[in-house]
Amino acid sequence: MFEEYLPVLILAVVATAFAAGSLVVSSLVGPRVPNPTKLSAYECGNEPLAEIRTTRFPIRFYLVAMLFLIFDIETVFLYPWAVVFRSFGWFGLAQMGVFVAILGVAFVYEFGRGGLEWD
Amino acid sequence: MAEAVSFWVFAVLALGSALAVVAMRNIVHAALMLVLNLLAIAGLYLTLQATFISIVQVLVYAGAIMVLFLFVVMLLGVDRDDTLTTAPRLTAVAVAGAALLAVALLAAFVGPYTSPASVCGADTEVAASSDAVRCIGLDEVYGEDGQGGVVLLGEQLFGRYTFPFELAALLLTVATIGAVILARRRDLDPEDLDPEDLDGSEPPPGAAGLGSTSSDALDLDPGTAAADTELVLDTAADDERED
Amino acid sequence: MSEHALWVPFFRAIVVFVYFLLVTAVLIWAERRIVARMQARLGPNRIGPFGALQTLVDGVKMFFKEDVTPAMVDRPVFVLAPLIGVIAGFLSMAVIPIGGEVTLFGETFTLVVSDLNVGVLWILAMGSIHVYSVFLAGWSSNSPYPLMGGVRASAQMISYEIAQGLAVASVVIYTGSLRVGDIVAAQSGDGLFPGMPGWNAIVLFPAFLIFTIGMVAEAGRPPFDLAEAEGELVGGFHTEYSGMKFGMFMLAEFMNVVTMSAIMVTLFFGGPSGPTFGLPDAVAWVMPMFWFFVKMSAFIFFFILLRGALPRYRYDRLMSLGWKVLVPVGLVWALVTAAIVLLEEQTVLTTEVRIGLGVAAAVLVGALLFVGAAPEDADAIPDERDPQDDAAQAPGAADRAENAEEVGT
Repeated sequence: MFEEYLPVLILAVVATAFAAGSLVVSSLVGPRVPNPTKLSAYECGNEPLAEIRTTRFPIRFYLVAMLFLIFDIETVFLYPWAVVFRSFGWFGLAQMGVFVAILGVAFVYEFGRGGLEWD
Repeated sequence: MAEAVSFWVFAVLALGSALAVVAMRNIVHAALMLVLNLLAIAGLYLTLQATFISIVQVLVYAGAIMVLFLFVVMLLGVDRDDTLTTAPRLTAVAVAGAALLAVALLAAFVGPYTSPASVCGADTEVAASSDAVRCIGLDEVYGEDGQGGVVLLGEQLFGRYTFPFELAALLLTVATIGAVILARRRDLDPEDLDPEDLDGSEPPPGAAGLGSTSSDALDLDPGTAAADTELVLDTAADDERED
Repeated sequence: MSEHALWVPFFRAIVVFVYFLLVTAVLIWAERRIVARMQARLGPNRIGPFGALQTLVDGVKMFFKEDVTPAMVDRPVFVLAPLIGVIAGFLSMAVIPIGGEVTLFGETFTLVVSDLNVGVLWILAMGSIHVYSVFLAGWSSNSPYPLMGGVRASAQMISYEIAQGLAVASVVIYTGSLRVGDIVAAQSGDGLFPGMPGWNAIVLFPAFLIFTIGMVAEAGRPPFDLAEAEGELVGGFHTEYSGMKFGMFMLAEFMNVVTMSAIMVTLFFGGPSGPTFGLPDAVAWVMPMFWFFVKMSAFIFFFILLRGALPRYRYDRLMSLGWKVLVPVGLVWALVTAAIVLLEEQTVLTTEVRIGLGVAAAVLVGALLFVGAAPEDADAIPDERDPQDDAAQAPGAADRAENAEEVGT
């Protein structure tokens, strides 16, 4: 168990050291000549106008995230099933078929309501 | 040894990040601390040899639910100067509730192992009796399928708990339909109401959106606006019926 | 997995780290050369033979560039975002075998960081962590273009994560194991006919298609590079980044191309397996590494060709493709795969039946893709519905994308 994850841990440490080290080295050797224009938000050369902190995003992004969550859970259910369904034979397939069919209702409803439209 | 080290590392990380979630003033920072907390919990599952549950924790909680949280933050506006003020009485109630929950959880999970019938480190005499509370390491349970518990989980889920499994599909369906009803009222879409917002002006109340492409933004007239209000009420009523 | 000497885990981790770093460096050079060729230019040709050391020089240059941190950013998160991207990128390579068994100093081990028992889920989990890099870069910049680019890119990534997850699920259904080593081993035999490779890409062709489209969208590469559509979003989520922090994003992006190619080869093209041509054992251990490298390079080349050849997709179409076509097809295909597995177990499937089913499935998927794509053309742009529009779709798509699409959607 720990032998399996030890190399992963080492890889994580090496990758972190590499990434963080690069940033540290570059901050040591790189020049630093700030001026007000550099430090302001980039808006294609115009004076920064947008008050970004109070802006809100369209609700469809929320809908995408919600759908992602639901289908992610569905996908996660597929994995243990994928490993064991052989031992359940056609009954196992029927179980997952019903599961997918029930979610299919949600999918069709959403399709019909235009929940998948992006305009 | 390695198990003890990883337990303490992840336990301290989980508790520390949980406290940080509450203490952070900035909502996105708090959300990030929650991600760290969820990852630490995944680490604890890993320590328990439950690799499948651990990776699902990362995929679903850290990967999906927290992304949803962050999108909701975006939806509400990235206002980072929000300072939260709570009534002191509410804080007291919350602390008391949390403490009660902690005691109940401790009693439920740790209790059996402190009883005289527990065989954790006990002599063989107690262990031999039939009502002994056994202390099985998860190593024994999950180790045997060689797949981090996924075979055992699958066999239980699709063998014994078929009905709850199908109910989960129903729950997810209800959640999807609810999300669509809440979010997808075409005529209510906030972005339709706000053709330009990069000019720094205050967005109209209840309606804003970064960048709008909608061609029917111009269709909006006071008449439809009135209809919108009715629809809001409608939606609320629908939701109550849904519940 | 038997006990190894203490240096083995270190060796495995560092070899894989260096291997993928080098391949990424070569990729950046190769891409610049090949795309230059496609555009009748020369590309970098000054430093080293054929300009091959250009990436190294650029990397060193990056250290000496000013790392501007604008005043309005959220500093801790601003620094954290590029780090998450690079670290998640390296970690997702942890389960990919880059070669076969090797024997060094009396220790025999496979050239992989670790063959975890939840291998394929590990890859997906690291992909979902990578979303944070993009999202947080956009958020912490506190500036319009990055914010829009970040949210847009993360919505794109999570949408295609589902499609990819479903494609991976049908591989797991077919193999019956989550372990990458088992998936590679299951593909090493003969396929439908003797002499034909038993690659999943052939048996699970629809899943392979879905994964291919998904990997391009996940890596944010053309034609799905909406996150940094420079005509509308400047640099997307990394607009405010410069110096080495920008370098980290660039590294993560190109590393993603390498990782995605490597995952593709592992899950669908048999990973490092391939003929050894009866070479003596002393040399034969090189062959798996050779095959893996060749297959991976082919996919990297495919990525580069896509970039050189295709105009950018439009965002609403990208999302429709993901949700309306790939997700339902992926779900149905996962169930079909399970049915095939069960039929195979009952030995109903003779070679003829298999071929018939394969052709039927290919036709069905083709029809679904066609039907899924067709109506969108009609209602995508409500105000220009002339029939000629569809015919002129490909060349006009890029222009229309710029006209129809403003910032933020």
